[in-house]
Amino acid sequence: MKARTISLLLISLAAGAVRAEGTSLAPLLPDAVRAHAETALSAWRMTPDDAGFAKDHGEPLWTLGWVTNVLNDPWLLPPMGDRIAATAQRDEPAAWWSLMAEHMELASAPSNQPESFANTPGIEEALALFTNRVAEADRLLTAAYAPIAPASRIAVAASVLAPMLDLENEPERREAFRRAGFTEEALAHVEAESRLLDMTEPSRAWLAEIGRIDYPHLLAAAALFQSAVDGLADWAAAWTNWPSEVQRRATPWGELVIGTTGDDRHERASLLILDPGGDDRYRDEAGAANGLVGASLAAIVDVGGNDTYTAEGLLAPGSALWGVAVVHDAAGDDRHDAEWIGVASAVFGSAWVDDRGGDDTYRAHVMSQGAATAGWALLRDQAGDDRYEVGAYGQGFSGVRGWGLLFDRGGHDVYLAGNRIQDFERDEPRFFSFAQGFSIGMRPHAGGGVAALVDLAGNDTYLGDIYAQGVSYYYAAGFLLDGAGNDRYDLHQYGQGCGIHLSLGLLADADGQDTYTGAILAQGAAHDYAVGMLFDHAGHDQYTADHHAQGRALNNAFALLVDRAGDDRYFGRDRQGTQGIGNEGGFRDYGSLALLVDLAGDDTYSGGFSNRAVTLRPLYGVVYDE
Amino acid sequence: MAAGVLAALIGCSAWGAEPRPLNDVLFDATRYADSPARRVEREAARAELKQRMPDAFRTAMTYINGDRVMVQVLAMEWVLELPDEELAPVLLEYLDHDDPATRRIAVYFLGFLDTPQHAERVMPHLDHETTRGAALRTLGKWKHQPARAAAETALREGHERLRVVAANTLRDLGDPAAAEALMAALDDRYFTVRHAAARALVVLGEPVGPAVERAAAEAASARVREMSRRVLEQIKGEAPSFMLDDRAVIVDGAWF
Repeated sequence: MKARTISLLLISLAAGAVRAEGTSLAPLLPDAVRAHAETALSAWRMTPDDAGFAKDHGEPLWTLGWVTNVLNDPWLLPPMGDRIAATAQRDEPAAWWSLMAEHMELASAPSNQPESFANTPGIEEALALFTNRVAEADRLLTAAYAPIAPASRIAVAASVLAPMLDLENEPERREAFRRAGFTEEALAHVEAESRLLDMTEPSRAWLAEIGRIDYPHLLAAAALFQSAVDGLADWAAAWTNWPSEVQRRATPWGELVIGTTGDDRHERASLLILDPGGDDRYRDEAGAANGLVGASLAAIVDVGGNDTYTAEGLLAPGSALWGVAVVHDAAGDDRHDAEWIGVASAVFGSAWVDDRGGDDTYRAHVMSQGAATAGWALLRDQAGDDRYEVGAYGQGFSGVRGWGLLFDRGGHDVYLAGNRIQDFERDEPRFFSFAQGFSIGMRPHAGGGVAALVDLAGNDTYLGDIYAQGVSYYYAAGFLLDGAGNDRYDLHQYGQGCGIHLSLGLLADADGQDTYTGAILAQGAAHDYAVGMLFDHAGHDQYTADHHAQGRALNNAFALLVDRAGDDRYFGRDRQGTQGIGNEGGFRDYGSLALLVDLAGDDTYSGGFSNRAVTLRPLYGVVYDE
Repeated sequence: MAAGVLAALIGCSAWGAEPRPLNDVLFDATRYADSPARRVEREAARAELKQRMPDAFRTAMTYINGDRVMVQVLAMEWVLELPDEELAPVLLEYLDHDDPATRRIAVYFLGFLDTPQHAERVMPHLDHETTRGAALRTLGKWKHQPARAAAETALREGHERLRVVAANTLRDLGDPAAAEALMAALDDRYFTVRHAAARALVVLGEPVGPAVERAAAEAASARVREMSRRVLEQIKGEAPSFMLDDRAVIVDGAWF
């Protein structure tokens, strides 16, 4: 007993050291803190092994192996968050590509040294070097897509995008699809399939078809193209001898467009738009990669100015459909405004968008701001007070085989997701978000991918409604990681570190006085063989929820909420559904595992739990307060 | 009420005309309601299906192992709500279905009906890996004692979820002879099984008391001794008391 007391004392000291780090996100669950969770489990005479109770009960044809492994050993989830946080801290392209390859279990990330344009004496030489790299990227991309016939590319893409934009109920949107290369036959086929009572056969055919994409080649093409664009952007930042009128040069892969230092308008599909400054306008096909219409590579390099990127068509600048898109905007207060699919989105492709500064606004209907299915999309915003708005599917979203990440380095940012697609099924006044670190699989046939929203600093506001803020559904992983600042998290259902149906969700906040507001299944919650975790490292925080929240594991799930410091307040309307509690698993008739661990401060619990006490709760939960 | 009236109207539409194919009605009854109108259609379709039992249930069972989760959800609602005599004949038909997963669901659904006279039809499903868990559960609910041996074997040798089902089956069968098998499971790797076994022992109650008492005193495993003590507390109706080192642990709610 004495040994245990001494070890707990040492743990407390170590925890103090962790707290002294203040704003460091990683490690999310240091050994010293984990030791407290283990002590909490020991009150039930359980060990960490118990969290590994069986959850892998689906039989998807495709899933990420590590997601299944984490279901089987939930303690592996915080290190996955650590890996994302460390990559964000480093914030180098090679590190991001490496993380993506690792997450998506691609054999290896290509070496991604920035292409050096340092020895190119003039613009002709720079463009020649660039097109040289384009030729190689195009060769790789052609190899990646070669196994898929052109008609099949249209069909599988229609299956993803037509339901997202609800073509069945909104027929006027079909025209945008047709202009983007979709055939009426493909759209009609999607609708016919959606009338099937059992979609197993077409779903499996779709999976088989997208499985034939050569993803390593796609990755190599994307990384090479991004590296070439980055190198050209660095070169352009130092170049001064720009033309006085917009110039265009034809290449086998599309036009090279050289802008002026004035306010230019770019509205045509191009391989590259290189613009040295001014308040420029980019519209529709400019900067959008769409392999369905023969524009599979597209890039924009904008050296400065307050720019506007708008789209009235299906795709926006910085989006990719069967192609690779890269946007590099070096400075200025920019506006990205898309009628439908927005910036940094990829479907069967890759989108990479860098915004290096300024107070920017991003708006789209769906699929934007780091959103991907069968591909990957990254939006990096380096500075400024930014506003992100998406109807649904964005701000770190992924579907099957997708990797979608939104990274914001600093500034006081606002994230809004969920004002376009109403949830008539459950709760009419509510909207789907599918955003802010949300990934979803195709139940029961395939797992999803990885989605993350990472914001390292600033007082940020996250507004979602249904499915948002570090959440996932069916063999997928969703993360929301926030560094410094006093932040506000607000949603209705499913989120704030929540796993739903054999899936993984995590939210971590490093510092600040934070408020978490949710109604159902939120704040370190999990449902149905899932894993949900919320970590808050510092500050006086407030958690408010209705039910199934705050360390709540429902129907054979594992939930963990760890708040390391501060005088915190936990409010839950339903005492039997909030704060360190499991349930009987419905007809399955066995329990879950739920922990609410608070390691310091004078805390208030609506459930009436005591400070510096351990309380065991039903089937099977613990409120552990130090 | 309004939905009922609408359903009645739809039902009347069959008068003088061919009724809609059940597949189509089932589709409407289980589709995602992406508009208020669809929600009304869905309720009407559900009402129509209820009027067309048991054929509607048979249609649902045809698609029960498909990928439309809402078909399973709706069928489960019917199983909990509709008369046993309406459902049981359909489920018995599906006990011989080619697809093991469909057989499993039929066996599972039967366990929610009070039809123990069909136990011998279910017993063979203990022999198939896919249907074993469902068969154990159903036979336990029906208190079909011949299933005890299979339950004890599953508790000893099955995968984790099957071990949980087996412990619950032994609880439902209610035979104190299962005490030894259940006490062995108190040392299972996972709490899911340990606690299901402990709960089963508590439900078996006084008759297993002496055996549990022996385990509390003599079991080689510290965990079994501890769990056995907890079981005894529950059997005797004593308030549980936990300590974590020298700190009292507050117990808020049911232990098992």
